[in-house]
Amino acid sequence: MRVKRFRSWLQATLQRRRMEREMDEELRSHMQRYAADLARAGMEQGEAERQALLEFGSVGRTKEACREARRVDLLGSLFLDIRYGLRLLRRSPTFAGLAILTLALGIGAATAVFSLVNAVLLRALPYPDPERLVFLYEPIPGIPNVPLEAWGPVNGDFFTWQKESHSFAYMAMFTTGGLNASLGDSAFRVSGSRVTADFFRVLGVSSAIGRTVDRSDVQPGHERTVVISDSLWRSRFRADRHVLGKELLLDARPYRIIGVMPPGFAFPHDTENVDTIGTTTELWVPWTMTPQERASRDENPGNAIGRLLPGVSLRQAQAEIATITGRFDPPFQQQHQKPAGVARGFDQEITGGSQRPLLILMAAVLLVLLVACSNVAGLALARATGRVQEISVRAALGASRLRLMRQLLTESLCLALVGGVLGTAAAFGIVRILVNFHPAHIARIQETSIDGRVLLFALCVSLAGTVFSGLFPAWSASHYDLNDSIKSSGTRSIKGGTIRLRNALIVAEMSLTIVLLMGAGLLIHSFLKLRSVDKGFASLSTVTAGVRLDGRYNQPQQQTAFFRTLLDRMQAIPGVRETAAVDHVPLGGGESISQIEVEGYPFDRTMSFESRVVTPRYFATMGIPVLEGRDFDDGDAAGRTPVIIVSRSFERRYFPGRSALGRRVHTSGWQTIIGVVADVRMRELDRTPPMQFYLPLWQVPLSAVAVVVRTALPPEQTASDLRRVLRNMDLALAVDSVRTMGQLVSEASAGRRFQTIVLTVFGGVALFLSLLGLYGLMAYSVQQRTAEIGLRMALGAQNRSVISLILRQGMTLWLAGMTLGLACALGVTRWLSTLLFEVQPIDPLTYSGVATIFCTVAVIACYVPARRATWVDPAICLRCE
Amino acid sequence: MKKRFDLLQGTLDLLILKAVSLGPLHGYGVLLRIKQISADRLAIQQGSLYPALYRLEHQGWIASQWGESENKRKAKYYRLTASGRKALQAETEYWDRMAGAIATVLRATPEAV
Repeated sequence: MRVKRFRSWLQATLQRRRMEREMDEELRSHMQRYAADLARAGMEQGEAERQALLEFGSVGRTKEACREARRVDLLGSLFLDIRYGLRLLRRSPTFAGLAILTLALGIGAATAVFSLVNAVLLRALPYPDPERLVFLYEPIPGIPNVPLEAWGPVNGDFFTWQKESHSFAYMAMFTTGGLNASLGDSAFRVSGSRVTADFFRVLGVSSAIGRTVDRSDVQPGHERTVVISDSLWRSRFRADRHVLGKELLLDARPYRIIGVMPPGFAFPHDTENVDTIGTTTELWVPWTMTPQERASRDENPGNAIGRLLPGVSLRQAQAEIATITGRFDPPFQQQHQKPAGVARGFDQEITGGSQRPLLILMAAVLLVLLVACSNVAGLALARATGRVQEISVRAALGASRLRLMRQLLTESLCLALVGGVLGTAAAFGIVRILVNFHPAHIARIQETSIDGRVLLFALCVSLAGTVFSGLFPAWSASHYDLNDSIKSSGTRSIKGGTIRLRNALIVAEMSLTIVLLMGAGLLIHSFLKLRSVDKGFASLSTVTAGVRLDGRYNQPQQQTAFFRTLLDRMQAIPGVRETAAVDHVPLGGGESISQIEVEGYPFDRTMSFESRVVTPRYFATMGIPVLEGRDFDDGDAAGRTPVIIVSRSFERRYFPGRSALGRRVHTSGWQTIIGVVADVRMRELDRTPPMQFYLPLWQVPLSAVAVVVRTALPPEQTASDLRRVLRNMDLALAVDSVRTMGQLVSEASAGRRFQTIVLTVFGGVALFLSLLGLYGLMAYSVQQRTAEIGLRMALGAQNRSVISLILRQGMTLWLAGMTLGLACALGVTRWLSTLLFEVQPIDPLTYSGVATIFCTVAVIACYVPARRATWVDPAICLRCE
Repeated sequence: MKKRFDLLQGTLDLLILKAVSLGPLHGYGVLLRIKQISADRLAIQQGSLYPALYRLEHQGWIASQWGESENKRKAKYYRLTASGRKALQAETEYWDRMAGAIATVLRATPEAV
């Protein structure tokens, strides 16, 4: 019934013109029929028409009554309310401006943060049916310190999965890595991926030009084809549509271009795979394997992805993969445990880690919004008290309580909508600022934009703001006692209820603010701790750049000779202090984890070590202290005694109270420990590093290293020197991303910096708002008590006692807010514990710091109105009563 | 001479519902039918008919549809809906009880009191 009525109203309102037309038609035809009947009864035609019109009565009044019957005027009276509301707000611009700005601030911040959440957690990944995409892993249980992402399956097991499972439409493997590309006479580094035949079918993406990799490409002998990204096509081929069939040299071998991908496609890129930090894949080449390679179980060179068949759940796929994997022997070496099979959805893989920080930010911003709304509610309450008379008169003239509440809520709606529009506009700017912090740890954050869902959110928040900020004042204003307020001419009849409500709002605001400030304080404290943490390496100005040799240098001697020459030539450049090479620089994203046997101890497969391969002078270049023994030197070469350097925690664990020097360790053969160095935070700044060891590059040759250079020259200068040196040695080789260690450290703490800054800003805004609210309340109360204060002063009260009178009132509120806030903070800050570093959720320093700041500002907010109270002139005051 | 009665408050709706329950009618048709059934004894103010029709339609008791009348003219026809039928029944019962009660009161004689 209600629904029918609503539909009838909606129709009448939306299709008003049609309803009017039909009504005209209906009434006219009524009169025509009547006139025709009268004429038939013998009346003359003109007379009949006149008679019909006369008997019908007023057509206008009938129509109005019809419209009323369908409640067409409901919207009309809403517009009236809005017009009236806007007029009132225009008449009190200070109140309106303050309220709108406050709401805009709250709504803008909430909308901006929501747009981050939307981009990262809510918006679907840019692939068809992304919920059917999974990553597949084959971890070996019992080996610590290796993230799941590093456990791509061994080739043989992957192909067994492919053959035996029935959950997947397609499965594929891919590798990630840098390649030296050259085109004409320019060489450059690109991130490339080797992919098996179904890679593009798994992702469900087809090429913009030409074709993608298919099954014929992965046959041995057909592998010299390449698919390039849109950005590579634009930057290196000037978007030439006839690019197909052209050749590109990759690691000094020619590849034929067979396709160009659509813009934006860069899988696997840094936000989608932990192994590829800082990279955006620009080309894909077919991964050809010999039958031996397909069956190999000795290493896991790639990652695996799959597309589930329609209707198959992740859980089913996981169970099936686990069952198949359960039949496998341990890969690599027999002493390991049997592997496990894991299927993990893309969404979990890509954005799972950012969920908590983002939700914490969202919660924080909603608190800010709540503070903003309470503030506006407080303002509106104060204003409503001033309007007692107006409201009473309207009530006396017959406005119903509901009608009055509607009017007052409409005013709040006007405020919130104007605030919402301004806030949404501000959100555009805030989003840009937030994204520019570059928190690389939050995947997909670069895709943040204001879309329909964000706008809908902004609208909902504005409406919620209306209710929050408008309901209390509207309710309390519509409950004035008519007789009271009219009798007393309105000015002095603040009902106790209103003041109590305002007090409660202020207390709530202050306690929310305390919670926010505590959160911000804890993060700041953590961030300061992180900044001063001992990273193990000291030199932040050291420049790093990747250099990779290709298949032409496949002999260890060639590789060693090349890097020796490269380092010698770099060392000879004036201004270069030290230069060295390492397989993965700390915090650079590369990782190498080993299991070894220490002489005198049985092999323990549950122990894992971070390992690095370095040249002599690496420790000096990075500023890593050598604590015992010596650094590698050029004499530690192939054919000489195999040597190794271990970290301090390694020595302490295995040789407590003794020196590790001269002891032996078994990696691929037995090596003698010649030195002990400090522990280095290689993977993350905020984790105590595991045990580490270093091998000499001259004894363990590699084809790819990062060159590190300590220099007084600017980093750009060093980069171009390095490019020149490399170019002189081999035209086909290029330098990969040049960074300073300082940049890497900064990137490693970017996530924390982001959270800390945002939460601090939120805390600051909340502090400002709630103190504004406190100040407003105190100033208002002083104004209301002017007469009382005047009387007191006339009776001889000192300034001091007047100030303390007012201060006492403010401080009671402050104390209540503080107590409540601290109690809430104790409960809430536990949720922050994962974001904290070396700081307990209940950190005395932070708690006392926040309390002090809050106390100081609150005293000022109360003191100023109190001080003003003493300027009251008793004579004037008493006279005006 | 036939006497014409003015309608009691609230009875117009009941009459309209009854009229359209006998078959779909346009507005003027409603007027004619009530006149016909009541043997021309009930007078309906022409102007008050339409607000009542709109009110009943808004409540969902009657529904309207444009159609062709007997002399090929377009007309808006009203018919009773299912909920209208229930309402008519309820209103009729109410009316009967009410009329009965009033009749009883009016028939009262001094002896009966």
